[in-house]
Parts: sequence; C-alpha cells; structure tokens
Amino acid sequence: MTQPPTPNSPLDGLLSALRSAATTDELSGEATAVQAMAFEIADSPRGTFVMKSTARARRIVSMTAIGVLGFAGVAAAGRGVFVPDNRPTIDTTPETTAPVDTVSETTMVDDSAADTTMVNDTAADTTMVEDIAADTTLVDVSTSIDSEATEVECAEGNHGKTVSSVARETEPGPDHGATVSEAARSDCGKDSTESDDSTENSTEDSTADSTEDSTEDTTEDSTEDTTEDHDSKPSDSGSRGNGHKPSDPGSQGRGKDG
Amino acid sequence: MEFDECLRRARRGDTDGLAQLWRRYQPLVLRYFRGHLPNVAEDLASAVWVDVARGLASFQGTEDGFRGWLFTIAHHRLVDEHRRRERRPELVVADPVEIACDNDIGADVTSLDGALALIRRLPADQAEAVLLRVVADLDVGAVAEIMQRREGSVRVLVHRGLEKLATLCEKPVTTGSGSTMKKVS
Repeated sequence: MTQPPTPNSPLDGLLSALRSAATTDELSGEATAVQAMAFEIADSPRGTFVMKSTARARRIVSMTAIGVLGFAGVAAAGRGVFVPDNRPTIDTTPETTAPVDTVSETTMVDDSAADTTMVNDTAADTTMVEDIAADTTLVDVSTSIDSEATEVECAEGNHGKTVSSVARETEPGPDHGATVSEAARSDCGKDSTESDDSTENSTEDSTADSTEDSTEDTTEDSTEDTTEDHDSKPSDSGSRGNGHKPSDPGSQGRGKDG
Repeated sequence: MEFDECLRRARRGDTDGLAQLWRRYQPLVLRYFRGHLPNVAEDLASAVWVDVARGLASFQGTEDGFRGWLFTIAHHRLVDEHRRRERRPELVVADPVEIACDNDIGADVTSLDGALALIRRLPADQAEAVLLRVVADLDVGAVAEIMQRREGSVRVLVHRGLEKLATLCEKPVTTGSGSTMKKVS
C-alpha cells in the first residue's frame, strides 16, 4: 500500500507543488475560453438541427438528381435503341420509290403490251379500278413533284439538267435527297438520239390520252381495255411505233417519259 | 458560488457560471496535460472545455462526478493525441518545448515546472495514475474507471510512480511509519 511520505520530504514538496494554487499564467485566456464555451452551448442545438436539415435536404436533392439522370439516361438509351426501327429514312424510301415505280409503269403502258401486263400485275394486287387509275394518272396527279420533275426533264432532254431541275424544284425536306437521287438514277434525258419534238409529243399524248382512256375503261372493265387503248396510242401519235423496239421497251420509254 | 449553482448557470450558457467552472478546473486540466505533453497542453485543455460545453446539458452528478467526467474527457483527448502522434511521428521530433521542459529537472523540484518535469520522466501509465490521483484529486475507483484498470493495479501504479519520483529527487523518502525507503539507483 502506498503510504504518505513525511511532510518534509522532497516528494512531499513535489506533491504540494502539483496541488498548489493556480498561477496567473494558468488562468490566462479565461475570457476567450468562456466565450467559446458559451457560444458552443448556445449554438450546439441549433447547429445540430441545421446539420440534420442540411443533410436531409442534400440527401433529397441527391436522390432527385440521381433519379432524373437515371431516367434521362434510360430514355436516351431507349431512343438510341429504337431509332433504327423508327428511322424516317426507312419510311421515306418506299415513298420515294413508289413514284418511280408508277413512272416506270406508266412508261411501260405507253410502250408496249408487255409493259401493260406488268401494270395489270400490280393492279391485281389491290383493287383494279383504283390501282389502274392510279398507275395511269400518277404521273399527272398523285405525285405532283415527281411528275413535274419528269415533265421538266423530258422537256429538256438532258440528264444533268433534268436532275438539277428536279433538285431546284423539289422543296427542301426529308424527301428532297431521295427524290433527287431517284431522278439521277433514272434514265431520263439520257437518250440523246431522239429528237425533242417526238419526245414531247409522245409524252404528252401518251400521258394525257392514256390517263383519260384508261381511267374510263378501267372503271368499266379491266386491264385489257387499257391495253387496247395503249396499243392504239402509237397509231395516234405516229411517232411511237417507229421509235421503239419491243426488245428494249423499258429504257426507251423511260427516256421519253422520264 | 456553490458548485450546483455554478453548474446550473453554466448549463444555461451563463458566462459567470462557465467562468467559475473554468477557473476552478482549468489549472488542474492544464497541469494534467503538462505532465504528459507540455507543448500541446493548452490546445488539449481548450478542446476539453469545448467538449464539456457540448455535454454539459446532459451531465448529471455531484462535484466529484463532474471532476471525474472532466478528466475522463481529458484522458480521451490525451489518448487521441498519442494516437495522432503515432500516425505522424515527424510532428514530435525535436520538439523544443518538450526539451526545454525536460531541462527543468535540474531546477527546484518543489516548483510546479520542476515537479511536472519529474513526472514526465515516469512511465506513461505511472504518470497518468499519479496525475489523476494527485493533480485531479480523484479517488482510486475513479482513476481505475478512467484508466480502464482494476483498483489494485491503479494503487500499484501510484506507488511505483511516487517511489520513482522520490528516487528522481535523489533523496531518501521515509514512509509514514518511520521506515526509510531505499534509494533506487
């Protein structure tokens, strides 16, 4: 057991020094310390509440931001995935190719009976009256832009001018490029051997007459009537029978009608 | 001002009550830290008082209990400081303040600085026990609770610490029964 030393020992003096009264140095800075303690007591509850509310607000903001960004990311990723399926170019491609088909079909109708047979095939897919009428009148009515471009190119008789005229006259839009490219791919104006007069006459006659006749006939009967009407057209125009050969109906006809 | 009244006013944030508490215990806290780390004693004491202010509203007890609570906080601060120094040992290399304090050993041991310099020569646990027992004036049970030791262990630490201090004083120390303790070379 520890026993207290004698009062006069050095250890006693040492312990007395440790238990001595406070010195001025030890009590310096009282005002600062007391002020800090008072501030800590006064600020502690409010500070705790503020910290909690701030942490809660930050948590809410963080969760909201994460949710918005996550939803936006998923939406963006979903759109990126589904864009190829809903790509407008895919939808416009058949639209741009359809007038070309109708143009070629009308050209075939104007050229020979074999071409008319193709018209009959396409017409057999759907209602006869409507399809034949559409096939024969599309050049003038349904596809106004393409028909106008066709008329222009046929009138000029030059492929480059035809394409440029189509490019100028076609309104800017999603179909502009496809229409121009289609005109460039076509054989319109490439036939430089034929005269412009015969082309113009045959085109006008064939398109106008065939439209009227075929429309009337197809409403009454069938495709055979249109074939007959078209067969009779070269005799009317006078220039069609001489300028076309049965062996190459497509290219020659397209060169005229565009 | 009685301690209860002082504590009650200090809980409300009254500066007079806080000043009374501070003046009564600040020298003890400061000596406690100076017996371990004199260069950071004031900083550690300030941190202790901030902790006291934060927990004063929740404190319930007598003056002895307050003293034990106060030095429990001080002990935790000291342990934290030792851990921080272990992680950053370069901060304690060639500390001029500690060197100057260690040079006070040759001075009068009955002075406060000389006594604290001698205590710093003790092993850490002995110095801790002596400081808590002598400076903080805590009983053995409170010291044992602070140091997380048994009371018997605390008594042994205090005895060995005082014995070592007497040796450092280079004078024979006599016990209360008249027997003389041998000088330990």
